[in-house]
Amino acid sequence: MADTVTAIGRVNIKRRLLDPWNLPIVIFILSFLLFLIYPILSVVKASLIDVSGSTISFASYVKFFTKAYYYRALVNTLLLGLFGTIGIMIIDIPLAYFYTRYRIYGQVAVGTALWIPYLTPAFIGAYTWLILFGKFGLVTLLFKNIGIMIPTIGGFGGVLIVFILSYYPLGFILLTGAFQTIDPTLEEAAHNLGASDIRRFWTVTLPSATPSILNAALMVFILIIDSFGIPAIIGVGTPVLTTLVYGEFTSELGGPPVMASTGATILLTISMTILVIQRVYLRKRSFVTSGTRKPVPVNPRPLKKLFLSFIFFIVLIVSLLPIVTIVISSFTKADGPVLQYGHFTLDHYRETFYAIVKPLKNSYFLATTSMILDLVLGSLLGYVIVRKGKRLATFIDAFSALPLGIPGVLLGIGLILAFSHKPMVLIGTGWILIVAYFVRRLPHPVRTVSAILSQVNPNVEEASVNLGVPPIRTFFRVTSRMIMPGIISGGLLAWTASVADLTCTILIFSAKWKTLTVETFAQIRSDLYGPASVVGIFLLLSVLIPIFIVNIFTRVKESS
Amino acid sequence: MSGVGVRIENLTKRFGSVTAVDDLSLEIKPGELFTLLGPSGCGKTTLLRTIAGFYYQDAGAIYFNDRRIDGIPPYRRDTGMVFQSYAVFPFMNVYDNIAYGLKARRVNRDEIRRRVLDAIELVRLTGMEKRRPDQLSGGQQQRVAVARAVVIEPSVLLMDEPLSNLDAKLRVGMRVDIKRLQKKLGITMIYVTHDQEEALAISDRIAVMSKGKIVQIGSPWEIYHNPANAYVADFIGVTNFFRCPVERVGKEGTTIEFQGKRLTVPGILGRDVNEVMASIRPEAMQIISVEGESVGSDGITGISETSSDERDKSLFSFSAEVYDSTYLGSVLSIIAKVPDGTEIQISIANPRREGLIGEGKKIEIGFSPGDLIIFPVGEEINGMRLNKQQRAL
Repeated sequence: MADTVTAIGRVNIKRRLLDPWNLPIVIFILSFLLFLIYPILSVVKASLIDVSGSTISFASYVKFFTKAYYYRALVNTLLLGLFGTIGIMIIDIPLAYFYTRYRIYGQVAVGTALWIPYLTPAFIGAYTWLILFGKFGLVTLLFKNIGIMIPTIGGFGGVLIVFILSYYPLGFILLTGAFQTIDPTLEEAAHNLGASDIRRFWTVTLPSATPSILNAALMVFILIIDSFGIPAIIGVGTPVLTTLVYGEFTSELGGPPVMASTGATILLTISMTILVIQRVYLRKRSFVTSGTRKPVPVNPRPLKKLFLSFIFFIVLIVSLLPIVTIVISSFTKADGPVLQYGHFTLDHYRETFYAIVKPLKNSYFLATTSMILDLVLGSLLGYVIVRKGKRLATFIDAFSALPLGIPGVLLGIGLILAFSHKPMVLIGTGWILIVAYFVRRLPHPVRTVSAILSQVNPNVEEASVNLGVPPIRTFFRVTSRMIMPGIISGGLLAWTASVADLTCTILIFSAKWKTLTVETFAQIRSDLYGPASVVGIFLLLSVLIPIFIVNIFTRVKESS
Repeated sequence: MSGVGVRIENLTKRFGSVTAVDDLSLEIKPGELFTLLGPSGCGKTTLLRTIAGFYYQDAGAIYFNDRRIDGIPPYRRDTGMVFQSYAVFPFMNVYDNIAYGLKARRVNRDEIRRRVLDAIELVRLTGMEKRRPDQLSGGQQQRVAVARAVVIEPSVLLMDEPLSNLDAKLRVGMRVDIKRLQKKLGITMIYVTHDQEEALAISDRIAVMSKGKIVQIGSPWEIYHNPANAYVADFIGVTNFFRCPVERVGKEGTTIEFQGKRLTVPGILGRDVNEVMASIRPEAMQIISVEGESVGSDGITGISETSSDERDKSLFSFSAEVYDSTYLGSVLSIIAKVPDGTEIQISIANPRREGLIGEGKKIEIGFSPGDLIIFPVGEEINGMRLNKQQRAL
């Protein structure tokens, strides 16, 4: 009897080891150790090397915190993050509340239009504001012509405004989601107990949404402090950590990049702190109730409706302004950064076309390759997280979300430090970009797939196995069909984010592997606003078109 | 299709430190509709899922006829399982759902068509072949799930609480359908439920489970009328327990003191037992008289039809005080307190009386001694708690 027990016990252990689901876990852990943890540690190590290049020293950190040149960037980063986040929340909370609770004119148009600035790569948005309000900006010149000097966009204030304009659509989308998941019976109860609309907002709606608001605020904060494009384009004279790190890294190329690594490590510390707060503190505090009903927007009094509609009309204009601007600019004669409005030309397209083909191909190839890798591994991991054992799931869930808190500049420097020497030289190849995109975007499919799969009853898969289809075949025949929406949206997120990536790409690209973002950024930096607009449009379309196609597909499918 | 016998030998399944199925042995006859009954957490679903192969046992063996099957992976075990959640494939229509298992078995197309259409007719879904699951009601989805499991002609049909997501009326209809279907096909079926009424209604035999072990196996009648212990008595239906001192144990049975009177019941629990638990079902009791109410022509208080002559001769009686009475249509349910404070429940079927019996009224309760069963003290506690919880739910 005892013998058979141990024999069966041994069979059980063998079963566990031979479980085919272990394979994706092993691949995941090894690839993250190699392509994420090792590069990060390389950066941290580089920041701790003293001048002689051998012993550990904190001299670089002392230097960082004592010299204004360095710590000013840190202060700017934190202040921009703080004020930017606060500003965005002040704009978004009322907007999202009105949008989800009241009927306004053109509601759908506003909702759809806000996705355009949300999906626009941040530095393209920044560039269009520069076209409008920069030194040679359209609006600036218009006012100059009538004798009024308006301040041009730039400096701390300019960067702050552009951050707010670039990231408030994300905040709006997150917050409308939050306000829509509040159980309407809560608000009905408040009304029933005699609370007015305003009182209801302060006493019920806002407190119910607080965890989601904080969550959105933290996400926005991380985006702002990790952003490279906006401060690089707008903030000349206003260094932040990302631009400082980039500048130091490109000028330190001879020796070890000590100061760049120091700045990157400090940036990492900030964003990791935020990520930990988000995961540990906020996860337990979700009041989002899973009611079957959604709050239905009601018709406000006519005057109020007009007023609210007017506000959202402004939002609509502000959302569409960048894309309109960039399209017009691409057809306008340009002399460096000076655009001669009213003078139509196709020159920019003619001149830029050949310059675009290669970066376009590169961007698509790199993003697609890394997306496929992300999707295969990400869906399998999403499956493991939901279906296989709790302890393992928590670990994989947390570990796979790690890249969300890793600044792009840090990963860029890390990959260069880690893979510029034997045995693995990736620098100068396309692989380094694929690796970077793969690691940075893996959290997307993992999250979208596990979210959908947790709604799917495991009985459905068991039914398939019970009817004679082995587990792996069941995964492809049944599970994959059920999680397809998650795979599609995860892939889309990963692909568009990779195509739009500048922060990390700018450090690790090589001449042969120039991407669309790098090409656009270079044109903007060279003050070639005409060609820059053309490349920018191609970049913008590359991001927008796939999303709208998928949207149309899913809508058609839903209605059938 | 002839049924397969199922034999389970010393099966143990642990989850960490929890033993879900504990050294359990069981034999199910070919063609039998066998029910595993017990409260949630008793191990019945674990046992079923181990038979299906979704869990691998820590010890023991499972046989279909004389073939040991516990090493066979679930997808080659040839069982047909019906899940509580239906688990129909949402992206396939009714026809494809039912054909799924046959396609996996590489049955040729013509035969698939014939068998699927037969199964659809069997579960009365003809005309709905092209519908998708989201266009079906819960009951119809469950029929698809049943057809999908039956069509592969499995050795054993496994039903995991298949009706608990349906509403009460549909549940009663479906359980009749399932029973008739099983008899028609002659297939062996193992049916898991926590609903004792459903178990009594559907089963050839029932195994009552508790804490991973089988407490009693028997026909519905045996389980209800001759419960093996207080746990079973309490779990199946509703019963009242009285703690009674033992006066004498003799040839004729055990003489106990019941509510201050002496009563002899057949059966001996042991020579040196000085206290027992006496169990009597609510419907085995009747009300003989109510304080301050006169005897009506159709029975003493108009509560039941029994004539007074019958009652007087054979009934053993005791008194209690009404705590609450509830009219349930077919039944008048009374909760009363006996002098020591114990609450008891009495059900009067087909109540003729209009109006309830007021709180605090003294009543005289009668029952025939043959309906009283005695158990050792202590066994019932767990079961009683469970039963209270279920009532509260």
